[in-house]
Amino acid sequence: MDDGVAMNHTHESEPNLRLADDLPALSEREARLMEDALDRLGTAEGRSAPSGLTERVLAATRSHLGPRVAARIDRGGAAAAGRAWLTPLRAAAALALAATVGIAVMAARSEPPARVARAEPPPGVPQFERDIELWVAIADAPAGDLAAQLSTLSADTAALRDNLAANSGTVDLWSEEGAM
Amino acid sequence: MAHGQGREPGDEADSLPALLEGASRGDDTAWRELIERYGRRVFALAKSRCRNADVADEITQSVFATVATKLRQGLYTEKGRFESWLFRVTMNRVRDEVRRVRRQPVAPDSGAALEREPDRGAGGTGAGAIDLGALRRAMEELSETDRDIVELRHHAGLSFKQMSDLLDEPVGTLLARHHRALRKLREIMEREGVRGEGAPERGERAAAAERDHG
Repeated sequence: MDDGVAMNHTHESEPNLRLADDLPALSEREARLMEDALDRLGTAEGRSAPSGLTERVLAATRSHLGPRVAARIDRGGAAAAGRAWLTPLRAAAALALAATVGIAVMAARSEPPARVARAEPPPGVPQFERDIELWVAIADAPAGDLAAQLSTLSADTAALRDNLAANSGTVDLWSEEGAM
Repeated sequence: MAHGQGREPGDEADSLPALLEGASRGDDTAWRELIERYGRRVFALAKSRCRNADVADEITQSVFATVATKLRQGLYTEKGRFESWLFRVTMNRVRDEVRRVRRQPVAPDSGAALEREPDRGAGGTGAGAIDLGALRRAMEELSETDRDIVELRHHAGLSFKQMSDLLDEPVGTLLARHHRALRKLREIMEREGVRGEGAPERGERAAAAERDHG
């Protein structure tokens, strides 16, 4: 029913407000009773939902959360390590590459491999993992970015850089020889 | 207060960011918790306007589907205003449905289940109790603006601050409109010959109001 109040949800004109003021006043007690009744009405409306509302909504919306919902359930606590992006297979390849780099550098200088990480490492992450992150990032970089990545390597890894450049920016993670 | 309405306990408010974070990462448990926490309130708001449980159920599913999509895509950016955002989505769905029903009416529920709700007064003994069925019928006579405020406050359970965020109106304006809506409801119910036990006659009410407000 239109009682003279504008149907616009964002604005009501002054004349309509004055019209509403003709209503009888409401005591505090009456206002509380009315509010209490409205609260109970709201509760009753909510309770009138057919049983299983949560399950129906879950079933209808699970797919909207994406496939990660099921994957996360299947993997249980595996993602709790905080390195979910680094799959076990990729981690093994990165470790192999990092080990090869380390051996090459040690052979060249008889010194421990220099740190090549340039980006600010996340706090608390061991240096070894930071090295892995850098090399995986380089391996994943599009060919066009590889030159830029390579230019940031330190002198301690010059031999590997030359080798990577000779392979036109591609690195075979599965081959230790390719990393050399 | 009914269904923890907007004045939710501190621990619920504290856990909400974690639930949203978990849901955005696809955590099924977090998503279920969000649905359990807000599902009935969304349903209540939809049911109050649409008067049909099946329609309200569909609206509830649609609302949470939108929420899930936005969370997954990282498009939810209204930090600290989740409830306002959630019920803005709900109100939009409800209005879409109301417009659709005007073109193709859907039979409302009989309301029998609601009528059977025990009508307990504030004192627990029925004194001053208000008939919920009559109150619901009176709400249907309110303007959309007044009805929005009443339903957001008492069905969705939002605080006035949350309503202010949702409706983009000052809190003071909403307080005044809310009080006016209560007076209208009282007026409508009296016109229909319905008032609670112990409710004073109009003349007595005016006198009481004078005493209350000095």
